[in-house]
Amino acid sequence: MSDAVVPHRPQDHQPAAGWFKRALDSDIFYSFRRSRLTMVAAAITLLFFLLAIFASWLAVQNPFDPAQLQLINSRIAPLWTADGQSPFLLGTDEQGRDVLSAILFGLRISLAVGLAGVIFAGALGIALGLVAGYFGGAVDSVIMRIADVQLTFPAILIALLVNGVAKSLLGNRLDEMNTLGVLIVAIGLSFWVQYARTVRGSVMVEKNKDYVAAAQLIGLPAPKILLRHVLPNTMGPILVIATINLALAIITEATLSFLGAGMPDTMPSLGTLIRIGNNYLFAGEWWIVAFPGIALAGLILSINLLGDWLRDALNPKLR
Amino acid sequence: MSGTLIEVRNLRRVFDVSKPWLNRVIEGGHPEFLKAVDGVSFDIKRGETFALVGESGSGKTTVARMVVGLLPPSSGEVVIDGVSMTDPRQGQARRRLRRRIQMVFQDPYASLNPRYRVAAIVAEPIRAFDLIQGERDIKARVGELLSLVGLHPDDGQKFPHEFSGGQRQRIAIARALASEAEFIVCDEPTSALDVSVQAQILNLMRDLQDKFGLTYLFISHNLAVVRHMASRIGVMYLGRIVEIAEGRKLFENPRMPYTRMLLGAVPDLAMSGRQRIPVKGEIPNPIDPPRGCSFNPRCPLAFDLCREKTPELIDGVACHAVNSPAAAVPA
Repeated sequence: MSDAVVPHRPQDHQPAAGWFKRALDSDIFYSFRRSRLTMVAAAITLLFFLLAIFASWLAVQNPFDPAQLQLINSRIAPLWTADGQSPFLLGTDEQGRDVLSAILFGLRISLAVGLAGVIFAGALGIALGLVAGYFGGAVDSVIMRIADVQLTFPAILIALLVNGVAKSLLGNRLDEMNTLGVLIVAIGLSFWVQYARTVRGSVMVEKNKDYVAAAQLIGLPAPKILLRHVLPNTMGPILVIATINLALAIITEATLSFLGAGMPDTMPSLGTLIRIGNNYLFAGEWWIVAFPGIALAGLILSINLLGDWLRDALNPKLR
Repeated sequence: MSGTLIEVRNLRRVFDVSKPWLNRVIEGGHPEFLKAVDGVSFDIKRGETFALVGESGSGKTTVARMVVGLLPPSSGEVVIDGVSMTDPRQGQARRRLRRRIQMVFQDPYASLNPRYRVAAIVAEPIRAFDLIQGERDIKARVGELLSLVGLHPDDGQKFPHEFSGGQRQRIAIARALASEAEFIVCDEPTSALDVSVQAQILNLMRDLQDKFGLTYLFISHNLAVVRHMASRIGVMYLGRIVEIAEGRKLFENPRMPYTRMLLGAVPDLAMSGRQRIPVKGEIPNPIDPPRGCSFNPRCPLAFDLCREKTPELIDGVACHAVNSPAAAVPA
């Protein structure tokens, strides 16, 4: 060990800083702080999530509980108009349901369906993409041809199809919670392709890198190599897709509910609220449709802005 | 420390480079095959460094990957310490053997998982082969390995991107040593590094060889590097070994015209003014190699036989002009 060993680099060997400090120091956080628009979007998204989580404490009534609704309170205008009544800040609908409470609880349903749908689609797509990209050959061909076929249909059509099949299968047994499950599956099945294609592409690049060869050399089995080595290196694009897909999934759920194929009137999501309110728009009761619509638009816009920023921040070449 | 550790027998690897089936049916055309490695045989003795040199595309890396078992050979056999790497009956023995074989890759920017801390990278073989139990002992061993390759034990807490190319290659060497390997395949370990760092890495590898009695298969296109490292050298051209000789002998007395051409191309002060064989032409397309000796279109000594018959490796040289000089009448 004579001339081969270079002296240790003169540096302070401080113990690694905590993850929180490292996160504050990262490029991503820097670009986050630089963009005021992104910070506002993040704040609004966070606000929506908090509203949904604490809906039970914030709402004046539980809009899903018919016992708390009174028809005498129906169609009250928002509080600041001449006909407004306390405590109905944003007015009530034809069943005496407080619009604000319905929005808070509907937000909860919309976000839950969106998140669960994205997780379901992501898990399915990532698993299929990993397998297709890593093993290639016939497995790859079969998975990707199915994906190609599915891509020719719009996502909403797939969701409608799944929804329709489930409804005819379950028939009368389709209560509110089952509908929730069916919506999640429908959204998951209509969005997995994007994950699968992205993951497959990244895997095909990563699997030829030598760190994968090094892992093969020590005899790690394929599932371990995929999960421990390949998957973490494909997560960047996945995160971006997941964010943008969250907005898409919420819109898809809202569309299904608006068309009457989603959440029932007894347990309304934002889309259901908009459908209900739509019937009263020309009768002059604009608040029933306007406020759920504004909430949905605000939520989607802020999530999309976050997704756009994330895409740029994780891939500076796209800017 | 003697005896043969690695035996490579008639190794072949063919890649299918045909167009997809549907394209062939509609556009016409035949299945096409690329003979990346075509009948390569050599032995490596325990404790020596055997080098394979050749131009890009001569099949050096393919041989390396087949020797460690990353790529199955189309035919032929690799026998390491009496265990065949291809015989399905020896699977059990092969799994035990795997610990003793490691590889150092060409590109240190791709051979370390960017998401892993260095300590986790170096510890992975230890965990995979269950060599040491207990986190504290593993950590101590990782620190020891990092010191061994000239890094600080605390460097284990960092990520690969915090290191230079040379330091990354040191980490890769530490990983190769982690499983207490005896045989390390080095696939152009210095070609991605600055010239100033290359010598450091090569000297480190030689020191480690002396210390642990390692056996190297050293792949390179850089003759100066090979001269520094190798005890024996095989020269590859288009998937074949065209000359095998002791390191010193090859540089003093190259016999195959291709070897002479390669050596003639090395910049060297002592050579100034002397006659050189100029490098002419390029390596032919391996999908459609020339008939006979694959070097004949570029060879200054080529005669009729060279265009018809592929020369055998006789006495360390595969060349008609050298092996049967009587027939060599320049056409």
